[in-house]
Amino acid sequence: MQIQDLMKLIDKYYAGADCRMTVCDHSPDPDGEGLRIGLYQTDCTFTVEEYPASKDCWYTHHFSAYGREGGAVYYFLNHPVYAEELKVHSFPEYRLLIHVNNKGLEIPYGVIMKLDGVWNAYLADKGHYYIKNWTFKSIDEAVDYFEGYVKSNEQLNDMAQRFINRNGQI
Amino acid sequence: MLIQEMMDIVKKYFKSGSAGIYNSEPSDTPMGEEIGLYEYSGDDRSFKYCVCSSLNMDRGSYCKSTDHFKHEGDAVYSLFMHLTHSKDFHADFELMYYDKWGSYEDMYGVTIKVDDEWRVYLADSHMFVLARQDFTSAREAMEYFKETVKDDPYIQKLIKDYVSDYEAV
Repeated sequence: MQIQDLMKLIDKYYAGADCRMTVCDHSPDPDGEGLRIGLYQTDCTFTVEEYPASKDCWYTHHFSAYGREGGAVYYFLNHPVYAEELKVHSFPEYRLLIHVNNKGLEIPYGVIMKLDGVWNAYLADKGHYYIKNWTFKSIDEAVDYFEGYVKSNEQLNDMAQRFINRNGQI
Repeated sequence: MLIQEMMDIVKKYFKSGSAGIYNSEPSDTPMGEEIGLYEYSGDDRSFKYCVCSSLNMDRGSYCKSTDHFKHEGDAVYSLFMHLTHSKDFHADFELMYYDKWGSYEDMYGVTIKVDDEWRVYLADSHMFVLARQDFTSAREAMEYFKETVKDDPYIQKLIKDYVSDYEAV
């Protein structure tokens, strides 16, 4: 998923009077209030920059950087605090597609979510697919189906593998 | 820490004397010692982060050796280890180890003062600016950090994931 796609979803779905988090596609305002997160491209990486909500936090500023754009987006979606905040503020339910490497490290390479009644699959940076099968009973079934499809499709599998190879940063 | 972040620190705190640090493979016949910290762009994708040291011994003999790492952070931290006793490197830093065995395999970060700011770099790509800044040494800052995050599940998972994924050739 690209940063601009994430921003569209945030603008559309993340809502509520008690939202604690601000998400933007540039460096967040250092003097702002609450949890502030910016996702943006720098010279050679994609950065997630965060100011914590609490003044009592042990850090004042946190950067993390990824080799691929999707890496920054999936890091954001996979972060327990951000994910919980999205979940309680009407953001659509989602599941990350996870590759487990030879050492047991989990590397996200895509995400599945149901948007306006349609199953959407995002793969690597720019892949975006609509799954026409409507019979999934749960999001897990949709994930199983799409993971299987990626494995069996040479082009998609290659795209996923290249993304994973470039994106094993921790 | 990322290689680019380390190169910025080198630019600020390393005085090139008999040794030089570069963001590319060093020459086979250096004047003194040359160290390269760089991403290898060949076919081997698994171990593409390199620290290469090339040394002019004497009488025209040279020695060159390269360590290849799977993780960008490990290449950077091994260069820090190399600089621990260097008189040319003037940054106050402490490398951080998992457990306390102190081997290559379990380095996971560095506490360092950069631009008058106490920072903690973790794994490959994370940098935290500490809220407390009243430390007199990197060791003190590091001990504060370790104590503060010892029950932080997010940080502990990050460290554990990182050291578990160590590979080098």
